[in-house]
Amino acid sequence: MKRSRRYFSRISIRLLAFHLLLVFLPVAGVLFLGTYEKRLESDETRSLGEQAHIIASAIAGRRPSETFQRIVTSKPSDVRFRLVDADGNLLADSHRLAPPKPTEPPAGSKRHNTLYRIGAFLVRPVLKWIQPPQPPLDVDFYETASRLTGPEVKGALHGEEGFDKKITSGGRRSITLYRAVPLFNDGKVIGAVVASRSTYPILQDLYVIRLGVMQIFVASVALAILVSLFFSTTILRPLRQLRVDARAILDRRGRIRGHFKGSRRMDEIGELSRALERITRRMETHVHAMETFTADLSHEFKNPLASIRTANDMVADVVDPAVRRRFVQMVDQEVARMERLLSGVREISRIDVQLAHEERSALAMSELLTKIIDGFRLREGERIRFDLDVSGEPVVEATEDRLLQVFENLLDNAVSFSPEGGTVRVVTSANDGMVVTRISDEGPGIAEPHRNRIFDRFFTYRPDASRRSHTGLGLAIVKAIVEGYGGTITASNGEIGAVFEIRLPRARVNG
Amino acid sequence: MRPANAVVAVVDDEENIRETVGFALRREGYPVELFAHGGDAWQSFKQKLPGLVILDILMPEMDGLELCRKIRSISESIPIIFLTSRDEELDRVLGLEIGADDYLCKPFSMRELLARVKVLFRRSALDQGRAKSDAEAPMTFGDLEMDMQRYTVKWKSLPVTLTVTEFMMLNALVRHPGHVKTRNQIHQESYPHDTYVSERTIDSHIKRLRRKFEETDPMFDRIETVYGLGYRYRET
Repeated sequence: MKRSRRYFSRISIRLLAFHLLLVFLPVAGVLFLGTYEKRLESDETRSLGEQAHIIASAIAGRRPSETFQRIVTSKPSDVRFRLVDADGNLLADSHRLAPPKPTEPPAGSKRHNTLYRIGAFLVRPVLKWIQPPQPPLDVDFYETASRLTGPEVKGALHGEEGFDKKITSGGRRSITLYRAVPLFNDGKVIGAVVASRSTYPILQDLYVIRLGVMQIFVASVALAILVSLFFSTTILRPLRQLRVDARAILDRRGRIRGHFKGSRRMDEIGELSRALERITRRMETHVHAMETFTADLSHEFKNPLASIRTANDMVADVVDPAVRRRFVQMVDQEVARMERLLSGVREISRIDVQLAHEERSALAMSELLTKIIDGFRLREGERIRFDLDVSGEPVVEATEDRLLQVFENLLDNAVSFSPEGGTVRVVTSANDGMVVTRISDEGPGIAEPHRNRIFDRFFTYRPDASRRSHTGLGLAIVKAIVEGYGGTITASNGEIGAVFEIRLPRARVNG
Repeated sequence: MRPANAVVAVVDDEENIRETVGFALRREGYPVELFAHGGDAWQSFKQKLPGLVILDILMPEMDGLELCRKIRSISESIPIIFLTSRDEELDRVLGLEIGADDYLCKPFSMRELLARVKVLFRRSALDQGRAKSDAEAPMTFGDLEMDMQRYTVKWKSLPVTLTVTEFMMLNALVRHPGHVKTRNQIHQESYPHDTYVSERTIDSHIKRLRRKFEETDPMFDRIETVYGLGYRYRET
């Protein structure tokens, strides 16, 4: 039960069912052919009556037999007219006077037999009538009779118009319609005109129509299967491929490994697969970054931990209070370092989210940098000189605190690498929609192998003394903020010392 | 028994670790030299080699691996102990087989480090024939021959070079052949003073141990993994 439900819930099966349903609609139309047949029959009966009336009125009062003969021979018809006297004796028969062409079986009936039989077999329980009519063996109920005794004839001889249907002896569903019209002379019935016609030609027509419907049906089923196949190859196969990919991406422990292989298809599924590819690639790099980050982090924590542990071992082992104090102090230092690390890590992981929520305003770089540099001059005194050069109108859209964080960090960095009496130069200018700020020092510069790594988290390369107070996150935070504002930061070596170049998008100012 | 050259060089860019390790070694009576990075250390080693080197792997300027290679280019026998702070780094370093005598993962216990220093000094003294071996002959376990003094191993009379840690792990397994040792038990016997060593570290040591034996004898299959429990040494 459950299994079959799952089977039917497959899109391909549902599509096929849907297509087949569409195909069955014309078949439902066939049912209306029954109604059509009835209408044809009543039309036929009326027409027979009318024709009988015409003949009856034409021959009334004259010599009936001669007139009848003239009329029926002048205009041959597949309607059979008979003339009977008041007792019902046959006086004349149009088919004897002018025999009609023998009816031929429908063209190609043999060719269609197989197809028709298949159709008939399939729908027999519902539609018994779909079998082809056989050509009647003897065309008429009265064929050999010399006296007509049917109820329609009797009725007509009593002065009433008569009607009857007789099943043709040879045909299975073929019937013959009879219409008898009384023939009056001075208000007295002197005989009757009997018109009859087999419905065989009607059925013949219906049969052709049914056969046509059958052909359309078979062709439609074939087409429905083809369409379903087409759908399943163009829609379901790529979908299935996506499913296979999706399963492959998660390993047994539910971790993300690898990414979707975007297909080159131009349709919606192709777009979906490319979108999934982009998403999973992002996730993959993110997961990878997280994993390296965790590894880096545990590495960063192991150094202070190692110091704490060995210092603690020594405290437990040593009696001299001065030495013990030294080791306790060491533990304190390392604990503080771990705290700094933790807050740096917390900050860097939240920068993106925070930047998105902070309110930004247009900030003039000249003002901002002057403020920062004044602070640094106060702090460093005579030790370091600071130069500021502003050109153009450098204004950026940002949060003041964030920019302070960026430039204080960079200036701190420059100062820490500057020699005694060195100069830190800050040049800022606006051009091409960007605000470019360069900060250069007169320190040792950046060793070539470190150039690509100095913005990496936890990367530090410093003189030993200042090392412990730096987490290696400062420049990584700076980079995260600058990039969060849509800018870039690069580091290079100038003629002397290192040069940091920060490019931030220029704010649009009025005028 | 004090080695002829008992100078221990500590090369680590972490000032506090340098200071603490230096203090502890001095207290044990070893003369100590401290270096903040490989470059400084190499300058000094070129003049005169110490008796033993304790090396951090990740350092600016010249890292521990490069320094180790340089030391090995002038001396095959000087004992070298590596300090590492990353498990995966340990794996990588083990794979390089740069000729270190032992590895300790940070944070390590000071007593563990001191114990290793002692073992390595004794081994090098024995190797140079300066110390008399205690009468104790090497222990044999079938094809395996273990010298408990020198921390050396022979398999079918062929020497297999093991680090001190690997030797102690093998010892833990071999002393109870056929018995399963959990990773925790192996850890306690091979790092008696260390409180925390990751199971992954044990696994990678065992893997290395097998590989070293297989290099001597490709048919070696005595160290078996018992899934969910640990490892076992099969005597035959």
